[in-house]
Amino acid sequence: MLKIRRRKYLVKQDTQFRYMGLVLIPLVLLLTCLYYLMYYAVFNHLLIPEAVISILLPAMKQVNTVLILCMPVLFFLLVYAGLIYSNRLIGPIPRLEREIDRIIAGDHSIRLKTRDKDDLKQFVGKINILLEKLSKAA
Amino acid sequence: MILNGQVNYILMKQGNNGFVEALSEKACSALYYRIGFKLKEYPILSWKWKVLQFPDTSSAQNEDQKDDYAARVYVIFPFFSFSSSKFIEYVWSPDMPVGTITTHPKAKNVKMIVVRSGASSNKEWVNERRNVYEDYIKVFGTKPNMNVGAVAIMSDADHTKTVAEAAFDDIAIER
Repeated sequence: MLKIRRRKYLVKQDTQFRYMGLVLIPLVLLLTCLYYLMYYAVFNHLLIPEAVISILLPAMKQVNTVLILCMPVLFFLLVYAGLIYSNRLIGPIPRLEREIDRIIAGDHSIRLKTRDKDDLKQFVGKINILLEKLSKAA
Repeated sequence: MILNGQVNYILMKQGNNGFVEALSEKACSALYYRIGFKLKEYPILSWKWKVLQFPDTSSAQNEDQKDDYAARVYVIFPFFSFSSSKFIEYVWSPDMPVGTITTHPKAKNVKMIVVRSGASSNKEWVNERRNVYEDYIKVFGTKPNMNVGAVAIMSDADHTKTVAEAAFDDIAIER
């Protein structure tokens, strides 16, 4: 069977960015809350200003430096992973639309194609079985 | 709360009276008691204290090294983060005049008020009574908009690497 290579990872900007946002925004919020929770728990435990200044603030400075240095790499990795995984769901849709348009136009020999890792693979497979049965019945 | 070595806070008894004695040998640690209350409802903080030995700051070369006090009483206003919290320290200084107000060099929200200066005669108990509400307005310039979260005592001699000793008693909040 002919394999279709994934050439573009960003095929439907609006939809892909929306799904990526749905995952990334809660993730960033969760991490921010965890960061604050840890900071506040230690601050609330130390409480005495001299202790906070000599123990917590230098530690936070160190953590913040590492975060600032790692943030661009982390952000890139998150966006990259988001693109790949959102593409597995949304990537085939524009091509499937074109193929279905051709079937509607009367070309019943067309069968829908997906890539190995596409999430819609099973669903598209069943549509192909349906198309096969319909063309035999005709 | 241990900061830099452990200060020995010992519960002592003299007749029927119990008090806390703090002995700091090149160490700095505090005792705090979490107590939440509105300063407007309980503006007065009173306590008894005595300094048995001041840390020797004669060899200190800068202000940082001088930052040791035999006796401190804190009123802590915790609020979301360290920088948005407020702290008032009442200290017994060996040499600074009573009424001196200083700001911590590394934190604008930490104010220190000298309430007693020099050694007390015969190392006797000295009573203090502060209107913390008014002190707050005086040092921060605004009315307190957060509750008190804790009151603490501390004796430290870690910067000077010397010895400090003090005793605390009858810490109370009043209307």
